[in-house]
Amino acid sequence: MMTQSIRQMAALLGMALLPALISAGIQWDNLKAATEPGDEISYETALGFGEKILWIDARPSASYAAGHIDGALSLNEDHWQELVAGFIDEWDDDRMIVVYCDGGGCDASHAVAKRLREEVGVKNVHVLKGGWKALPK
Amino acid sequence: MYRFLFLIFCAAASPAFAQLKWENPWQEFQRDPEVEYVEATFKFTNTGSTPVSVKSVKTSCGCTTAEMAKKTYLPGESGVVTANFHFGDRVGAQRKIVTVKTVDGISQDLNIVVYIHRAMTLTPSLVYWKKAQDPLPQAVTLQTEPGQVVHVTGVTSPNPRFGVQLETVTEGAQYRVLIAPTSTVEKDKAEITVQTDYPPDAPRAYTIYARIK
Repeated sequence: MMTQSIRQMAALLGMALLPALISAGIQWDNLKAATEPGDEISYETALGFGEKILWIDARPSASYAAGHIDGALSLNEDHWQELVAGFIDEWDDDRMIVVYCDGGGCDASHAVAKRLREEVGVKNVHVLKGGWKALPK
Repeated sequence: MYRFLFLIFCAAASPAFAQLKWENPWQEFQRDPEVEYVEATFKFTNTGSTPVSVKSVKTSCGCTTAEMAKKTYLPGESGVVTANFHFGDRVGAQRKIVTVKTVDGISQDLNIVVYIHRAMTLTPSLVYWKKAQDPLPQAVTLQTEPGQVVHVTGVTSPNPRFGVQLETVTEGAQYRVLIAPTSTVEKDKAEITVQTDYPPDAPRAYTIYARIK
């Protein structure tokens, strides 16, 4: 009797999960390009780039104004057209670009990193693992 | 005993147990960037037998706002979360999430999925030469979105030290801009403007960044 009940529970769970998983898979495929994981690196690894590092702050302009990593440039998707020229002026092909946002569920850094690679065409673009919130205070 | 547990499991797995039943928590839109924002309304109903109070409504991006008329909904009562996603300079596939949490700890993600059309893509948008490098021409490909017809009506360089030449690969669909500096002896820069005829009421111009570094 116990075996029969467990089988019934498993069957019910399977029937509930299968369409949900299929739907989630189809929907996620449509968004994969928008949040393609970039090359995430730790803060310690980024510091190893020394003077070659070019920090990019992908957070909203107000967050950047309130505080940012020393020397970081603001480049976000709210004001991309206005800000990208400043990045290009500062950039050189031997710089190691590290993009950060708030961290946690924030995907702005990945989105900015993707546009830098694909639209602008620059290389050596990384994303800071953990973002602003993971920085030592 | 096990049948009782089985029934409890079924009740727990039932959507009605979660009390707030959402009509459409995943909404998709196709928009032109000139529209600037999209508004999504997420309708829900308290299908439980007790009032539900909303503790927080948070968005995944500062570009998205969300609000609801009140916090507490009686059994059988319906409500709406209204969310606005402002595009800024975003293009392509976008997903923004509004997370609604109730006082009793239940959380629901509401998804706004927007494909922001990009009438024309420039690849790459930056061309550069190192100082003393051969000043050979570099090409930027201008590609319109499938199904879209966009004509390039002009390409101009404000800096005479960067020459530009427009080539038509397929009229209305694909173009190529060749850019070449007259000399790479000195650092220099130019922002080259590509003028198009789309959208007809406010034709867009695109920028190619040229640098000698």
